Amino acid sequence: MSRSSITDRLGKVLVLVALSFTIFFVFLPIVTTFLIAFDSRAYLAYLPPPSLSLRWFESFLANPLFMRSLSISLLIGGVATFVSTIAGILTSYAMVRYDFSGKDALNSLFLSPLVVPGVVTGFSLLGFFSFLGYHTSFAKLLIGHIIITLPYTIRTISATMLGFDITLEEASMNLGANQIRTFLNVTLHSIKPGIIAGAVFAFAMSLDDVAVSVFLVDAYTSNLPVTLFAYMKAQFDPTVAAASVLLMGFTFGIIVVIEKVMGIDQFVGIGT
Amino acid sequence: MLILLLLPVGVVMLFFFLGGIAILVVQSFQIYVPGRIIQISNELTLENYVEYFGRTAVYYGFLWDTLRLSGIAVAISVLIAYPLAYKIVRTKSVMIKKILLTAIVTSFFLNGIVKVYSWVVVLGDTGLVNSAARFIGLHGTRLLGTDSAVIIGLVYFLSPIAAMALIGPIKNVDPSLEESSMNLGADLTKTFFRVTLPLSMPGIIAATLLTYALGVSAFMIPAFLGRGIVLFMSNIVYNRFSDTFNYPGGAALGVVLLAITILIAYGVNKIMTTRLKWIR
Repeated sequence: MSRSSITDRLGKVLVLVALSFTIFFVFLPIVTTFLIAFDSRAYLAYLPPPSLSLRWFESFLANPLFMRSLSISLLIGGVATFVSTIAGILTSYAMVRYDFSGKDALNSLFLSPLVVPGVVTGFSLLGFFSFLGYHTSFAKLLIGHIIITLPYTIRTISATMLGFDITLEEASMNLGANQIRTFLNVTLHSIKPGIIAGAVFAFAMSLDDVAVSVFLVDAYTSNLPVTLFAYMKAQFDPTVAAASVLLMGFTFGIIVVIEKVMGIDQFVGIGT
Repeated sequence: MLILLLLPVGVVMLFFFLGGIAILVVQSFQIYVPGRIIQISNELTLENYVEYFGRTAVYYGFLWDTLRLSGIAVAISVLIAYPLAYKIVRTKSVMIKKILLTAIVTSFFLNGIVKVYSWVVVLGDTGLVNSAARFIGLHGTRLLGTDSAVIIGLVYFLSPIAAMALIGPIKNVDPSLEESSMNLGADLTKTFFRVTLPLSMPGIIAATLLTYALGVSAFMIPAFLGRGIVLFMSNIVYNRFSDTFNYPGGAALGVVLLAITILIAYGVNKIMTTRLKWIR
């Protein structure tokens, strides 16, 4: 290899500085919110907090509005993820194993919610449901969340299927199993990490959604992010910080699951 | 069999999603009648579009803000993300790779509410920056409601995505090409600018456009970091509808926003297909 030139060494230092700054930049807001969540004062004030307290966690957990939104978020997230995952498996199987005309167009359609702005999706769904005269907020939210989670399950599961060795399926069928049995015993088992990762991805996106949901909620039915959104517009006390800390815990859980199921590097697509 | 497999997703997407978009487009040409949200009439009008982009120049300002601030944020995000992605792909240390990847993925999966609230707390009047300034004796300043606040928030949101999108293109650059370049006498810097960067350029452009589409669609970040002073198109759609329940008006804005993102997506598609032809 060649000797390190001055530009090289300068470049390496610069990159190191840039990366350190980036890591700092990533963690700065998180740490700040964490501090605020334990602040004992009754309002947002200059840091650092003079003393710590759990009052904001109590404030959040004891609030019936937040708790109801949380349960709705979990319920909608769970059902939407379940539906999207099943639909994702079926669709991925069709797209990866079969060839047909219009496949590219269909693929674009299925992935399009990723590019369409959330507000546009939510606003158009609102119009559509009003047009149909349908007003049940829970169902509207559910359909909206299925639409936004589908691209994630389809993408993750088809990526896993593309990497799956088709000769295993052929071997199974050569040994006498029909297509359905092959699918259940061989294929599903092998793409299991992709299915779990896709489901986790979908659930996280569902729990994160404000832009679509804000048009589909009503006075009695709202999901947690939208409730927090409305709360933040009215007041900015550290209750939201406490909620944030709990949500951070949830994010940590996601990372652990992904790492355990397929490893973060494979999830991002780096391979071994 | 194929039909059966595609049926559930097909129904949901074609019926609800496309149906919704269709209604949106149709409604944008309807006359606004206060008190009615949706109406179907044969009387079509361009009034909704004219109102926002003809008579008052105000909305051009918001559109320009949306495009401009997203553009700046995307440029910064890609500048931050590229070294990060490069280090992840090329580093020989498994631990560094794991740490950087975890940082990116964690940042990506962090709830939007948490990200936005955190930046409000850092940039707020009694936030981290102002607290630090006060600590060393300086005066604090109003940081929220400025272009910079929105840009910072956007960069925080977009850089993990850009980084993840850049990992693929960088990985596709054959390391033996870099090795040959260095064997022929070029140092790392020259190799990077003459070999790695040009080869990953299509991927960089695609990642940039994808990030830009997400930036333009931002809703929560401009809502709270812009404090109602800096507004994005999505905020206007929401605000207008919340105030006046003018669905046709909001629909017109929505169609414009949709057109912009479709254009960007088309651009990405063009690049991806052109690039594949080139590699082959």
